[in-house]
Amino acid sequence: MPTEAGPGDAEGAGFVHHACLYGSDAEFLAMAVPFVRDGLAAGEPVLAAVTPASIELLRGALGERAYALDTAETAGFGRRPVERVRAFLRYHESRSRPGRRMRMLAEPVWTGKTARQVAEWKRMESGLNVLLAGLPVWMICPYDLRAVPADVAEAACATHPGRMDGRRLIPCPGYADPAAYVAGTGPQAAPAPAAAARLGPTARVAAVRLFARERAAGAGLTGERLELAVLAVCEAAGYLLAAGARVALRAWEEPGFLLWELHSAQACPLPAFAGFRPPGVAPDPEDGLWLARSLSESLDAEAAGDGARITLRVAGRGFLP
Amino acid sequence: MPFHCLGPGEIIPGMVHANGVRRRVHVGDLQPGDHACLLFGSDEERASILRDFVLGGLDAEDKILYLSAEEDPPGPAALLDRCRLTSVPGGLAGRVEVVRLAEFLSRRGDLEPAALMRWLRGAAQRSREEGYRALRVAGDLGAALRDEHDVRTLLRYETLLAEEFSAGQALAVCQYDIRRCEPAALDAFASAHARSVEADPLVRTADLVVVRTYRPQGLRIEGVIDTDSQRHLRDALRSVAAVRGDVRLEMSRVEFLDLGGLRLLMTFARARAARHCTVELVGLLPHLSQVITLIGWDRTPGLRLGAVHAY
Repeated sequence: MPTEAGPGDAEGAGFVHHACLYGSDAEFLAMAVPFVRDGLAAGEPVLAAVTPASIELLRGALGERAYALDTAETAGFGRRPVERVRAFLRYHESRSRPGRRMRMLAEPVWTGKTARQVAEWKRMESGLNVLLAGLPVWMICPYDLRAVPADVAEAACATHPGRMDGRRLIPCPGYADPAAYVAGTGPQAAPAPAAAARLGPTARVAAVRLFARERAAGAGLTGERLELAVLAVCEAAGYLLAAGARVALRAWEEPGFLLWELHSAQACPLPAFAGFRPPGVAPDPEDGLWLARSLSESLDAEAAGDGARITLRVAGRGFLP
Repeated sequence: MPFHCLGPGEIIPGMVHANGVRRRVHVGDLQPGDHACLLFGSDEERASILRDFVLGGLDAEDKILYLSAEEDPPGPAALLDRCRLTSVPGGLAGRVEVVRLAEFLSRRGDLEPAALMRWLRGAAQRSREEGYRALRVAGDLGAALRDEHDVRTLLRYETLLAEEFSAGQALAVCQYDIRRCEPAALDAFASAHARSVEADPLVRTADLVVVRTYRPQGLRIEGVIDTDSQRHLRDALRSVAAVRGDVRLEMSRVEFLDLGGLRLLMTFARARAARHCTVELVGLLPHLSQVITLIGWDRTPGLRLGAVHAY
């Protein structure tokens, strides 16, 4: 049942996550202007991490109020999902005010991405419901129906509990529990090819490190990129080893990438969206996984039989990140 | 008061290494034939190294000889006290001897290097006859310095000592207090030695070495820090937790440092900040500096990121 969303909406303590499927500039502004204006009027920090065109549009409609709006070009506000989450958390950390919620317009870039990247961003949209839960943030994610593929628009209704139409809040009946959504998206990484270099299973960190270094150097990485690749593999392996597991490694190359598959035959806790929150002051078992994720082009962590599998894609030779 | 000893670039005959390049040796690794210098800047630094020097000598069954200037300990018990040793295994029983430098001065009060050297040669011979492995000599000769003439005399002594001890009958650590002499003279004294001695490592495993440094106060960390070695780093950091003032961690020889190790450094930095001082990380490999910034730990209170180190 649609409801009118006003200044008093979404004032619960936690994270509120809505989509907005718009088909014209007017529809975008019908949602964005009252959302921003009401937030600013309530003294809330408001961020628009949207396309440059949408920023310009919004500024034009806000008039003098635009001076109080924080803006970021969405393409630079986290190139990959793990960076996007960090960007949200950093904005919250830097601008939060006691007793006040904050508002964010967050429009991902969907065009020009590979199918793998689109799937990762969809999963992240779902994951935000878990990762930002508890933060006093009202986030609306605009989807430009003139630009996004149909499957992306469809996914928006599965990854957001509700969507905005102007000021009206419409529940998304297809909204999926985030863990179930991720589980339902199927295997994320293809298994290692038979010709991949192998190590283990081993419980020795030093053996993992030497193997990682040897393969990274063999793939033509040097200097900083070599060291970061070794660190990524070691931190991912460390996550599995910390659970008392032994890890088998496979390494192989694809054009532009060096891939690593880390497999543990023993059970290992792998919560959905593990390793998306940056390390804080207190240590967390997922810290190393976050670093591995941040240093990789992509990282897939999933259950494999009774055990767990982590697959990292690291930028290889010829890849200019 | 420091006095002017030598002009910049002035060459002293007999210098072993005119450019001052020396290899470092841990005090516990000293072997007969070694002639090493210790430039110390605090009583704590000297006591720490002297302590290991004495313990190492007792362990290796060396005869220990301390050349005592006026301000130095008058006897073996006082020497142990200076080393902050309350007792030694098996007792002293003639194994430690203190000799006053005043016995080798001319009527004018000048040190006579040849006389001292003759006596040391005899002492080394006697030590061997008494069944000791070698004669182990230490002394703060710089304490006897009065003027430029003394500097030249002392350098002659160092040259003789280097020649004499290279035969492997004895080993020596010559101490110079950097607070008492000018840099040019210190360079000259240091250059008269093939090696410079430093404290035994706090940590020495196959993968990780951590050495206490005193100028500046801190640690030099070399090797690998991973889940297997983090506890060693934690212990080493504890050993400098009580240092007053800023601490520097020299990290240019760190080959690998994982997130857990970085976290130990950040925790240490916050503890420094609570004492209103800092820790500086010097010589970090660029990728580690990048990781610290990526996490946001570059804003950790008490942390200073110094110059990075090239690959």
